[in-house]
Amino acid sequence: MIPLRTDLSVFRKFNFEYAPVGIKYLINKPEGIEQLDKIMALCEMVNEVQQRGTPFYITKENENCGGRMTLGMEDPSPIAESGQVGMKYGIFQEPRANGKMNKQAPRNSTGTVNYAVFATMDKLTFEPDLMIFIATFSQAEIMLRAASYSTGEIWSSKISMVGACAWLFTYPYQSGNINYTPTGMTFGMKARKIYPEGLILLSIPYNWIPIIAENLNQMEWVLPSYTDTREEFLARSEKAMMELAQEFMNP
Amino acid sequence: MHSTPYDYSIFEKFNFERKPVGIKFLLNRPAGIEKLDKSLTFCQMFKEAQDRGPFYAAKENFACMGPILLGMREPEPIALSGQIGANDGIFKEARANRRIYQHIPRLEKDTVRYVAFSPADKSPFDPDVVIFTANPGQAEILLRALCYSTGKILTTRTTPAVICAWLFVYPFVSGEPNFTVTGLGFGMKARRVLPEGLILISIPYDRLPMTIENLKDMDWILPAYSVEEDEIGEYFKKAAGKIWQEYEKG
Repeated sequence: MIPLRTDLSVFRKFNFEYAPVGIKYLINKPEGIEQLDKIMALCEMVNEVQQRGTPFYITKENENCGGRMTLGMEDPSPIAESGQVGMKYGIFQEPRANGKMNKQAPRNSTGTVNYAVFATMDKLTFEPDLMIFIATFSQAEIMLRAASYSTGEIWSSKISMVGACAWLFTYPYQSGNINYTPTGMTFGMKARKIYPEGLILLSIPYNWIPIIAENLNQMEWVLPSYTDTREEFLARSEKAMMELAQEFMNP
Repeated sequence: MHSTPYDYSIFEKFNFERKPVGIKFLLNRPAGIEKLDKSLTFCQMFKEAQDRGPFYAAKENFACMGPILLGMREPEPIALSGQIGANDGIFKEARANRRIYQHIPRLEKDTVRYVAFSPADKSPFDPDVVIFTANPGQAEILLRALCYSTGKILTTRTTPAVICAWLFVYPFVSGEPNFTVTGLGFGMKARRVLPEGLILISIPYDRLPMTIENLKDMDWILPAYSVEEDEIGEYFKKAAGKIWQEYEKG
């Protein structure tokens, strides 16, 4: 694993209630990190490392839901792929609906990821492939704005009601796109009560982390318009439009 | 406006704190609906409709970007070149702001001259788009209803500014539902249109009948959601065991 070289210190300014988590996907066993001593779903592992504080790695033996399939540690079973599971839990009307959703879920080729390392940001010693942030709506607004601040990137998200791990742990890694979802929207995480409702889970792939960090260093976190009274905001907008129009007329 | 609204009574079961709002895009003036008596932004009109009965708005009623999105007015170079977002501090430079205009959906010029708004339960028209203001628990049910029979994945699209384009116009032109959380878009946040912590779900007319049918058919609160945290592992294990047993029987 390449040692951490991205400066992540700006993220500390958020004082996130849940520590940001870095994840690394590996074909070979990582050195100097202990294997998780429990079995759980992939979506629970972020919260597990936040509670433990010490990094760990997992193999397919540690995962008991759909996570090992989406990461590419194991082939999907016909039961899961055909969509039986979602109907059993009442999420879908028929297996065909669940099966259709599964077909769209991204997964790494089997055998290409055999280990996944989890570490909270303060214990991160390696360049992460992905970082997961659990943010309030206000914090998420700042994070997403930071992604667009210099790039104009539109905010797009993709999520499924089941197998959300595919969209949070694999999709950003494969596509290079940021993804996010409000907590409480997807079956597994809601049923396992991993995070309370009313938060935003952001999954940010490695290519975006330096851009967001740099923009966070440069931009205003709380825009003046957000602290204006309504009248102040309207006056500010009017003044800005007049100034822009004047500049435009007198190039 | 000839078509009859669907039966939206199923949505009453949610007891939404803020009413779902139906919107209709019109070429000609709607009969039997009052004209809005003030000038508001598109997002404020949506809020206005939650608090009063049906109304319609014409070009002169729209402040902000509404007339541009609706094809009522050509965008000014100041806006399109990205000056405004840079000036507001949303973007570092105008070049970042101007990129969003490559994506923002707009209606064809002069094809919409009026927009009708109404709380969905009192709607005298069959809305083109219905926008729900939900808490996270209600949103989960509504979003699940969008996938229950289809297995569609949920995609969202929005921009840091001009969020109205994505909530009101995008679902209408694309046929795709969209959702966002309150507090993410600049204009709505700065104008404090709605408090933070809510989910705005925008559903186009052609997805509404299926959503209504699914809400009638599905469990609103799934059994797994009522299982205690320390028992959920065992619950999933048991359920998986049962599914495997059935599979092995062939």
